This record gives sequence, structure tokens and C-alpha cells, in this order.
Amino acid sequence: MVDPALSKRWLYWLLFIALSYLIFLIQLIPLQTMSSDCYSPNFISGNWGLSGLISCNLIMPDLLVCLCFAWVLRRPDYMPVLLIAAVMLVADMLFLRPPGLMAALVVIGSEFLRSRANVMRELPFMLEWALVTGVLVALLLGYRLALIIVMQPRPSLWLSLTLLLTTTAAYPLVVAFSRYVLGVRKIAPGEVDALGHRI
Amino acid sequence: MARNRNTHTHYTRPIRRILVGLLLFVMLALFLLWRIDSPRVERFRAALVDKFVPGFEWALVPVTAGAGMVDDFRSYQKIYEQNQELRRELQRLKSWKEAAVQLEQQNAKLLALNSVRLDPKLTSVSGVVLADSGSPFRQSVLLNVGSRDGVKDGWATMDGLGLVGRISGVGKNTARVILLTDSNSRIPVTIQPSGQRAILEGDNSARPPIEFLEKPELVRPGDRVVTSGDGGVFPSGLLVGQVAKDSDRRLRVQLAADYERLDFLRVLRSRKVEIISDPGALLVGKPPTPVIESPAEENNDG
Repeated sequence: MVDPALSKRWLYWLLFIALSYLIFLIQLIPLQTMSSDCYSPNFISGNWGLSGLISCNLIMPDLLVCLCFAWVLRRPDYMPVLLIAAVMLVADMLFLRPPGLMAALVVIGSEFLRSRANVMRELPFMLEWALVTGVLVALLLGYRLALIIVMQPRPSLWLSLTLLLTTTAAYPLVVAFSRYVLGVRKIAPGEVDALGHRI
Repeated sequence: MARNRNTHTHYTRPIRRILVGLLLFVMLALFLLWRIDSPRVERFRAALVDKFVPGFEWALVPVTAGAGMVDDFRSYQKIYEQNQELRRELQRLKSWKEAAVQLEQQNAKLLALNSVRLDPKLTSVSGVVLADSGSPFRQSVLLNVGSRDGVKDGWATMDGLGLVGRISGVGKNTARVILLTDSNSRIPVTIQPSGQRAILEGDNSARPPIEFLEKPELVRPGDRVVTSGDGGVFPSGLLVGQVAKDSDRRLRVQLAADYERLDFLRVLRSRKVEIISDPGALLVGKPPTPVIESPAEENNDG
């Protein structure tokens, strides 16, 4: 007989893979082949015309990382570390990043959050958001530091900061989506799984 | 039961830690390998993208088309103004067309008089844009032509109007085009009326700057920028765009290609440029043979 808790976990693993496929798809659609000038300091200091603002493309937040962190904090058992590593590695390859670096950093970040998932259960959402923002900042710093160490050109700081901002802003939305649509919610204290074990 | 689970976690935790450590090690090793032997890993990446992205085609193509339609629909709102503008433009273009026809006839006559042999004719492969780079840090697109169609690294890519970028990374069915706006793109260009050579350096902005210009005072905004063909990378004479001056007085290029809408791109088959390496037999003669024989002759003489 299949363990129902395990089969449910399998379901969420598949769901995560499907969602990451969807995110790849959305990011790869060639809608923004024009690079926008809006994210250079030059633009910000210069002309803040309305037409300039409208012509800005919104930078896509890093939804994959958001999803990883949101799920790890809610249901660590839905996000095995191998799954995170595999998906992030494919993302590195597809999005032309240095392969492995971002994946390793996200795994470190998710392990950090996983070890605190128990504590975060009782804390309000604002604190969780702050913690995740902290981890995202640490990811950005680690990424740039590693690129400096191996003497690779770094992406523009301005663009990275904008990406950080949009990712942080997207985090509550991702959490709400996974809570209310996908049913990934925090484990209530004293909740038991299908076999009656404490989770 | 509960105690059982506890001992279970006690037992698995160190193993898990080792596993995570191993995983991190593997990924960082991959990163270092990429840093040391980038071409090999990039080839692997191209192969992976080649496997992965065409699987998305069923979704990418209709969504892109749909978005294009929405864009078109939005433009209906301004249709009257657009119509007026197009009329004016048509008027101007008619006069230009007249001039062009005359020039073409004149050109044909002069070429016939000179019996000039033109540059090897450029043939091209057309491809559809499948995907973009997916990250705001890189400016590149993926085409649905690859090594199967004979596409090679380094070939120039144009849309109908001007140069778009160059091929970098070829899979079996796909090829990646690094756009001129990417921060890794460097293209040798000539600025037309003054004939000055320069390098067009992409910097992730919509208007890439012109670098290594010898006499900037000779260049004026509005000058035509074409590829120079220096270094044998590109065929020369492809239109890149027009010079524009930045707010901080830096020279940039307003690209001729329509970057807002890259659908179909032409990949120009450039022939391998023949490099002249030997000094030429007519001028110097055959150097090696006399040099070897001369000592023996000297001995005989002496």
C-alpha cells in the first residue's frame, strides 16, 4: 500500500517541477528583447518623463527562488534539497548564468531557512518576510563576491538591486498563491500526519 | 512511535549533512570548471538548451504571437495619428525612392564600366526567434536554426533593417544570437562620412556606446554606422545604425534593427576570410631551399 503522506509529498514534488517549468517558459518568452534604459543610474538622475516611465519594462522577479524559500519555510518535506539543486541548476543553464554558482547559493540559503522553519512557524509573516529578504541580500552579496574572486565580470549593480527589489516585493504574492491556491500552509503546532505522527 | 522517529532523525541527520555538502561541492566544482574551461561547459549548455527549449515551442510561439496581437490591438487606438504620419512618411519616401532608383542605375553603369567583382555574395538562412535570454542581465535570443542548417559561431545576424548581433553558441537545432546590446558584444564598425574606425561596445542599454574612436570631433549625431569587417569576423558594410549623442556627451548608436520586435532573423553565411600569411613568391622568391644547400656549396668553393 502506498503511504498517503508520501504520495501527497510526491504530488507536491511534481507540482514544484511543473511550476518551475512554467516559470522557465514565462521568462523565456521573447517579449522583452529590448533592453530597457530605465534601470541605469543615468536614467534615474536624468529625465523622469512620463513617456519614459511607460516605456520601461518591468524586470521579472526571480519567482523560482521565491517559490523555493516560501515552500521550504512552510513544508520542508515538500522541498528536498536534491530537487532544489536540480531545478536551480537547470535554471542556471537556461538563463546563461555561471552554472552552479547560483544553484549552490540557493541551496545554502534554503538549508539556512530549513533549519529555522520550526522557529518561523510561530512567528508573524512580517518577520518571515524580513528573514527571506535578508537571505536574498546575502545571496546577492555571495554571488557578486564569488564572481569577484574568480575575476569574472559582474552584472550591473543597479540591475541586480532592482531585481532584488522586485523579488522581495513578489515574495508575499508567491506565499499567498501557494497558501490559498496550492494549499502549502504552515504546519500548525500539534498537527499530525495521516498516520498520526507528529510532524 | 515518537521515539522511533526521533532516533530515525538522529541517524539520518549527519548523512543528510554529508549529502548536502557533497551537492554543494559538485555545484561549486561545476562553477570552477566553467571558469577554467568555459568553451566546453558552454557547449554543454548549448546542447542542453537545444534539448530543452524546442520542447517549449508549442507554447512559446502562440503566446508570443498573442502578445504581438495585443500590442497591435493597442496600436489601433492611435490609428488616425499613425495614418497621418504614414502619409507624410510616404511622401518623403517617394522622393527618396526616385533618388535611389537613379543612383542604382548610375551605380550599375559604373560597375559595368569598371567590371568590378563584388564581394562574395552573401547567402543567408532565416530563423524564427524562439526565446530570449530569460534574464535581465543578458541580451540574447535563441533562433530555431542550428548546426543542422550549417550555422556556425560568429556569423552575423540581421533583421530586415540592420545588424542585430552575432551567433554565439550553436546547438543541433538552435543557435544563440548575442545581441549588440549585450554587455559581452564588441563589434568593429566604421562611421560613414568620416570613415573612422571604432568599436561598438554593448553595455546592456538600448543604445550601445562607441569606443576607441580616434577623432570624436569628426563624428556628428546622425552619421551612419556600418560594420567595418576588421578582424575578419564580420562581412563589412552591414548597416548598424546612426550616431546619437548622450546627455553626458557620449557617442552612442541608435540601432537600425527593430529590437522591440525580433521575429524573423537572417543569419548571413559568411565565407571564411582567406588570410594572406606567406610573403608571396613573386616578391621574395623561394626562401627555404637555398638556405639549406648553401653551406655545402661554400665548402666546395673554399
